[in-house]
Amino acid sequence: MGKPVFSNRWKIGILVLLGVLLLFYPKMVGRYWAFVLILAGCYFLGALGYNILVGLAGQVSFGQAAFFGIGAYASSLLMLRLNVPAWAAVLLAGFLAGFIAYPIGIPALKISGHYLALVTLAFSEGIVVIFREWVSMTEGPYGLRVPTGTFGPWVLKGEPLYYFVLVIIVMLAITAHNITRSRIGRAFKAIRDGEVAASSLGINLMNYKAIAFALSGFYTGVGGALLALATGCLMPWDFDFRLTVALLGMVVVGGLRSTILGSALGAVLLTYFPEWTGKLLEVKELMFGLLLLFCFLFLRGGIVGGLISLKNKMQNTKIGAKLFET
Amino acid sequence: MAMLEVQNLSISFGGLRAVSHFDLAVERGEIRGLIGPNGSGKTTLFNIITGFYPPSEGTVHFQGEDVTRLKPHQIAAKGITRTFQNVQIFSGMSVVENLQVGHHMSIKTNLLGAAFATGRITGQEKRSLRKAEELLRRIGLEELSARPAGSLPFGQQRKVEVLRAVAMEPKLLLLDEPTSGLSVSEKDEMAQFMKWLREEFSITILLVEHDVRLVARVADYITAMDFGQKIAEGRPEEVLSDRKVLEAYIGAEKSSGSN
Repeated sequence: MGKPVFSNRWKIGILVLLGVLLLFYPKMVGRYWAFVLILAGCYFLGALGYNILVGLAGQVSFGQAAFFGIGAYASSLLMLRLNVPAWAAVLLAGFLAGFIAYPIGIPALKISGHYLALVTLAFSEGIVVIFREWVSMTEGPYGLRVPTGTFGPWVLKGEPLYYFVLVIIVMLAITAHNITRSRIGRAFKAIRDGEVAASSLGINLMNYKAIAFALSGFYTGVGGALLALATGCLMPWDFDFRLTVALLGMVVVGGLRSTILGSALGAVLLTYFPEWTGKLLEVKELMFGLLLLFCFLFLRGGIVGGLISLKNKMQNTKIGAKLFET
Repeated sequence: MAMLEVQNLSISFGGLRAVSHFDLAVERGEIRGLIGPNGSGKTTLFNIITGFYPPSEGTVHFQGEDVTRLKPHQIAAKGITRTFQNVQIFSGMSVVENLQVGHHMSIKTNLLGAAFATGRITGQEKRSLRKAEELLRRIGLEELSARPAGSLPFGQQRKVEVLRAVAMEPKLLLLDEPTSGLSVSEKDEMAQFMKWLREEFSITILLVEHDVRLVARVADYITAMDFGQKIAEGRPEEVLSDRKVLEAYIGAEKSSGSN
């Protein structure tokens, strides 16, 4: 738990393997599947932001799509109207989403549960209305064309885009990992597990709830900004309640108690899922529903939670004890 | 002036006066027992002192400073913390992490420092981890360090809750029925533990406790409450033989036996 980042050889081995795989992935599978992984990466950041709020800090929110949309529109408009370079536009869009999310944490002090869910949902749908109606800025229902970004000599399409997204995601995942292990991450978890006890140990509830929302907005906003770069076109309704449900699905399937790994597995699985079931288009949503139901019923901790309990069970056997020696 | 000075404190819920014109003075280094039948206002008093309820009347001074209307986290910053009647452990965190939450105020981390895990921050984190593990070792719970706190048996959860409060290095610790639900031997351990806390960390303790014999053993002085008012105060043997106290207890037992 509080141990240093890489406490055992297994983790290092798996990370190195994963790193090599990600590095050569576009060469191995070609453009299309590399693009699918880019999308999964963008949703990963969306889910990561959501997981920080819901899984780590225990706050209810149904407005995550708004932060994704704010990130997407803000970075695109910065590039389009102000010629801000892509990398800066992505980061600035993330900060803007975080800045807008911050004050939502303040009512969270007074209202919680269902009411907070409704407030965040209303906020989110309101943002969609702004995207749709502010035509002079966002092109509204006509769709906003996102300029192709550049980074130094590289045009951000295909492989360069893949590596651009990969680097940003890895850097952000590391920062998120560090934050969850700092006193800030512990304060989030303390608020999740018991607000009253948390405050009696000196944790300022209002402050930390607002920080949780801001961080959540930031990561999700960067995800949206990267998605805009990848897809090249934004429609207001891409960021309505359905996106929130999709992101929540990723968080639940991956694992609420595993901020980074869980969000990543959930995002990858649910992004690839429709690709695999593509031929069965009509049953796609049914399959999604069944998958969620399965997780609620049998896999409460999501994939990561399931793996951990499997590991605990195997440790009690002879082979398992050797395998998981630490 | 005493370390903790409660003066003329009152609070009402609806028409009910839960605490009424209550005075209390606790000296530094003291273990003070607070007894009284159920519903006599002990926990309410705790909730006022620790900032969860604003009193309708009266003041709370800590080390000469008026802390009456501060928020719970501000009260904690002054050096007062508490445990809860129904254990409030962070069940999703490991035992050692629970204790580390107690270090929240002594670690100085801003968001950027945390995100980039700067050297200063990692140093503080390591020290915090070492200190928390050391505290567990001293009480003989080191092998529980990595266990999820929610998976511990009840008695150990109580201990972890108290240790978490101790990790904050408070000057004044309010314990709300720390032995309720514990077995006889666990109660003994908890009594030893409280004395140990005072000797090792020179923490002043205000203790709400139902087990009258246990209070008599650990407390230097006892204050007895009934219907939100002080009915007796003094050395344990004096208070426990006080007629009003006996009446309050016997009366309460009669009525609680009927429901």
